Amino acid sequence: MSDNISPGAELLELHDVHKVYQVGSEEVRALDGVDLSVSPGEYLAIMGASGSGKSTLMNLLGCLDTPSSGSYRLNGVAVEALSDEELAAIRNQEIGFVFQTFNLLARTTALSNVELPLVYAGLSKKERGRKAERALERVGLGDRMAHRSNELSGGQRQRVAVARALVNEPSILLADEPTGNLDSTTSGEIMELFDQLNRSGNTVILVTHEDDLAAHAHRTVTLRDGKIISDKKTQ
Amino acid sequence: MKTRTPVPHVHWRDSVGSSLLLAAESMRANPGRAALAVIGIVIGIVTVSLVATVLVNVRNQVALLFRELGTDNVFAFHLSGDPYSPASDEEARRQPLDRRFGDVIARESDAVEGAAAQILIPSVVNGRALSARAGSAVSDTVLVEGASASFFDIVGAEFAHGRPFTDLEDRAAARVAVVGSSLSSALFGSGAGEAALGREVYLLGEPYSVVGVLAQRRGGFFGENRQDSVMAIPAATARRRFPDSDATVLYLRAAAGRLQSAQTEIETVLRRLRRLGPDEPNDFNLSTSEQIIGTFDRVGAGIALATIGLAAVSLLIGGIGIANVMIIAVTERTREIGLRMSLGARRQDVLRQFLIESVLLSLLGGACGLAVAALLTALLTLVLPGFRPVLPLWAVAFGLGSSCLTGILAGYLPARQAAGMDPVEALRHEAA
Repeated sequence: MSDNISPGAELLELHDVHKVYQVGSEEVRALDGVDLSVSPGEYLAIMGASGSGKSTLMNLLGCLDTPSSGSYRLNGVAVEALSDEELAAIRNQEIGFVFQTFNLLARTTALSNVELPLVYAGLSKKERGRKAERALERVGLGDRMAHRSNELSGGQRQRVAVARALVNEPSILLADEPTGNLDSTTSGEIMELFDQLNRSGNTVILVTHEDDLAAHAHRTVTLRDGKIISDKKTQ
Repeated sequence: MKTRTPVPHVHWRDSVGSSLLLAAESMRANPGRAALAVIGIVIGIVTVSLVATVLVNVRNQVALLFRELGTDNVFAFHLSGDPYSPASDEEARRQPLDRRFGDVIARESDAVEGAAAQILIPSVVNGRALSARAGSAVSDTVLVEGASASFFDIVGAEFAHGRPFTDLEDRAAARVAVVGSSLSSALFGSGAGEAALGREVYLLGEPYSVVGVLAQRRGGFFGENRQDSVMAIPAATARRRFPDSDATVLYLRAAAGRLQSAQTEIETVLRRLRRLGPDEPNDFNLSTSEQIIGTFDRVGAGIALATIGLAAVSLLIGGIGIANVMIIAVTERTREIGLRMSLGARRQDVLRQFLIESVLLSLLGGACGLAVAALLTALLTLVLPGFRPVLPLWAVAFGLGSSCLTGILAGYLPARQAAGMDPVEALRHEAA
């Protein structure tokens, strides 16, 4: 793993990133020369219509995928050069995912769901319990820890998912349409939670196609056809 | 900037624990499928453990049966097979051994300290089944044999009542008899006890006076020992009353610790008595109870091997069932696999999780198989008296070991498929 971290570096830095898929005989350029820097503590929204490449960008930022060409440095580490195993470690330590469909293990308690990243981090049962409880308290579910996820409401489920994303104290919270499956009241509550997490120092990246969601962020990056067409501060 | 743990690792206990939950979960969600998956393994394990139990039982009883004939005894017979079965063509021409050879051997061989003779009387004489009668009671399972006076001492027979017949009674061809416990019960009633002594038993219309009743034998096949139906009459009497029956087994008791040399010396003396030339092969067969048990063990090992082959087929079918369920599980849980990868699960973590599930499923089948086998052996004890429901440890070990192995083999490909998934694709997978 490369470790030449320059002082004052950005949290993440993409330079001329391309992602090309081969669909049948056709080449699809999902990302076509993306440059992007994000500093620690930023609140960023990534916008774009479907097919604009924002999902691909999110997968790259989350280290679920690697670029076809170009460089991606996360916390000074060149991600494109990492092995599968190192990528898994980065996802575990640096990234907190929040999905549109929550992706909780059904019939498993909130606490066990939140403990899952800590299992892969190799923590002891005792320490996992302690950290997971604290994360659930942070999202306001201190009294729902023993509930199974299928006994929780949609908003509560997404809170569990946020707690799971937070539990390993990652560098980035990466949320993909986090309110897409929620009604407007609950959506507001979840967005309030993200705002609050950002105020306490967490870097938040929201992927969405909704303007009023993006309005919570302090900076909006818009994609079209795999290219960034605008990058502006909103506050 | 936080320091990164180089590569996190999951403790196996955590993965076993969570896989246990997940496996239980998927079994509860689809019990029918899980049952179908493990049924092959259940059948395989039941087969192996049942055969193992029966084999071990029969073996122990056979061992007891032959040890009751004396562990220090060498048995000499003119045929090599079962004395009650017809001989092979080559052996059919052999002459039976003379019952007086035993005394000659005992005199001439240092290593032999006692001899007895037993004359086998077939249960059908002159086309008529032999039956013993006392008053109105008749037994047609009677096993008649001639015995020298020393016979009961040489085989260490235990008497419940009365005594063996004497040398004098043998030489005088007296019509006296020593009867087995079952025969005594059949003829004189089960509570007869000592009252059987002095009573008369009719055999081919001739009366024999009972002088002794034997204690019940411990060995036997499933609680049955033909020796309990025995009616032993003096050898000379047998020769006179059944002149056509001359098949004689010699019992030669070796001095303590000299079984080996006794066998050699008996062979030398018998060859001389049978007037065999130096190049002629033995026209008799010597064996000891340990050798007979050894022969049985070789047969038993063959049966055990065949059973293991049969079980292997069941386990193969069971393995296919397990593999099937695992493939379905991997497909159904594609999203979960993607999620786990996004949370930091490495490929080997995913591989291990599914392997553990597969092994747990197989072990469940194995444990069910052992439980069913234990139940069936318990039922066997009700049907077969004297059957001891002991599941041998090696069968339990084999059962669990082979199910474990089946689980690993059957789960490997599905687990590798799961571990090889692209996390992006897996997360995008629509729930089934």
